[in-house]
Amino acid sequence: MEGISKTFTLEGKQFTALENVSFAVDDGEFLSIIGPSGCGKSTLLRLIGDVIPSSGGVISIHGGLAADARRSRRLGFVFQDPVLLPWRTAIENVELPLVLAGVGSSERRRRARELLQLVGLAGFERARPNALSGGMARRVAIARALVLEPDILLLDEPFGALDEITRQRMNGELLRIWSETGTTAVFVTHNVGEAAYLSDRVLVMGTRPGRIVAEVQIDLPRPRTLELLEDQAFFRCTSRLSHHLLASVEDET
Amino acid sequence: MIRVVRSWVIVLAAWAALLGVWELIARLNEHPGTLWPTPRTVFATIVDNPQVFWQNAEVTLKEAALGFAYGVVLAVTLAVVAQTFPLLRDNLYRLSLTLYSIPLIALAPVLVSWVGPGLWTKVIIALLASFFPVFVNTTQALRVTDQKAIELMSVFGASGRQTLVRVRLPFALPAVIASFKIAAPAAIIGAMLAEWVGADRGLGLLMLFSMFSFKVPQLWATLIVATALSLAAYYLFEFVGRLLFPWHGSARQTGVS
Repeated sequence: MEGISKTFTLEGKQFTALENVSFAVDDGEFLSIIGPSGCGKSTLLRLIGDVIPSSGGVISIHGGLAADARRSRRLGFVFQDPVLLPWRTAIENVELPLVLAGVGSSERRRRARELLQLVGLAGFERARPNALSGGMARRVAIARALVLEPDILLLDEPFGALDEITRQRMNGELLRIWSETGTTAVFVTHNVGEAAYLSDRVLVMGTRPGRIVAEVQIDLPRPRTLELLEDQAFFRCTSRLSHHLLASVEDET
Repeated sequence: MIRVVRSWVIVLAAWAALLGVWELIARLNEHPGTLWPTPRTVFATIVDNPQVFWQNAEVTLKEAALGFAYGVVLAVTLAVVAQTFPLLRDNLYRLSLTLYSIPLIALAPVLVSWVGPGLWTKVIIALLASFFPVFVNTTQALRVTDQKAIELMSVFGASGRQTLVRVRLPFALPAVIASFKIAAPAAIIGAMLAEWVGADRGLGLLMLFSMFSFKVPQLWATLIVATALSLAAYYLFEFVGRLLFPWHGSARQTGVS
C-alpha cells in the first residue's frame, strides 16, 4: 500500500473560488475540511471527485489523476442531499454503481445487501426512497458510495439537513463504517464539533479567495464514543478549531 | 369522505344543469327539436343504432392510434437526438414548430394528392397532431433532469448513454406520459379532420354525412361519441401515469431533492 498524495494548486480566473490550496491525505485517514459558507469547501471536494474541472493545479490520487480515479470508479461521493433515484428501491439504488460498472446481477445483489447491512438497513432492501426517513436515505447514499470499495470516500456535508440528534447518531455510524471498511474519508462540514469528533486531522478554510488557513491535528483516542462529546480534550479541540475559524472570518472584515 | 361526496354532488349538479339548459333551448327554439335536438333524441340515436357509431369510431380510432404511435416514437427519438447533440437542438425545435404551425386542414388535401385518400393520409395527420406536444415535453423534461443526479452518475463513471438511459429518460418519463394526455385526443381530432377530405368510414365522415343529409340528432350524437373517445384517451394516460409513477410528485420532497 502506497500513501495517497494529493496536491492542489488552483489559480482561478476572474472569480477565484480557491487559491493555491495544497494538501495531502494519507491512506485510511479521516480528514475534515471546515470553513464558513462560500469558502469553496464544497468546490474543493467536487474537484477531488472530478465532478467539475479545475482551472489550474494537479490533483493526484495514488499517482494518477482524479479524472482517472473517477473513471475507474475508485471514488465514492456522498452529496448534501442523498440523491436517490425515486423509481429504484433502496437496494437497487445501492446497486446502481455496480450496474454502471457492468457487474453481474447476482454479484450485485450480494454486495448491495452486504452494504445495506453495514449501514444498518437490513430489512429495508425493497423500500422506495419516498418511504425512507432522512437518516435512512443518507445511509443508503453512504452504502451506494461504498459499494465499489472506493479508495476515497468524499462526503459533502452529508448530514447537514438532519436534526442534531440524528446527525450525531449518523456520525457515530459513519465512524463505525469508516473503521470497518478502512477507507480514506474526506469530509466537508461547517460544524466544528462534527469535524473534531470524526477526524484525524482538520483543515480550516478561509474565504475570498478560498484557501487553507490552518491545519489542526485531532489527537483524540479511537474508538470515539458519544461520551467523548463531554470530554475536556474534545472541548480543547473544538475551541481551537473555532478560534481558527473566527480568525479566518475576522481577517477579511 | 364528505369532501369527496360533495365534489361528486357538484359534478352531477353541473351535468344536470347543462342537460337542463340544453333541453330548454331545444324546446324553446323556433323549430322545436330540429335545429336543437333534445338530449333524449340524441342519446336515443346512439342507443337505437349503436353499430353505426361503433363501426365508424373503430376506423377513426385505428387511424388515430397508428398516427399517435408513430408520432410518439418520432417525437421521443428526435428529443433524444436533440438532447445528445445540443447543436441540433434549436434547429430540430424550429423545424418541428414550423411543421406544427402548418394548418392541418390545409395539409390534408395536399397529403391526399400525395398518398391518396386511404389510411395513410389520416395516420400522417394524426401523427403531426400528436407529435408536437410529445416532442416539446420530452425535450424539456430531458433537459431539466435533476442536476445532482447527473453529477451522481458522473461520479460513478457513467457514460453519456448510461446517464441517458438510467437517469434522464426515467426522470423524463412522467412528463412524457403527461404529454400523451394532450397528444392522444389531438390524434383523434387529427384523424377526424383528415376524414373530411375523403374517407370511406370514420367519425369525421359520419359528421360530414349527417350534416349534409340534415340528420341533426345523428350529427350531435357523433359529436358526443367523439368527445367521449377523446376523454377516454385522456383518462387512459392519466391512469397509466398514476399506475407507473406512484413515486412522482411525492418523491420529489423526500427522495430526490
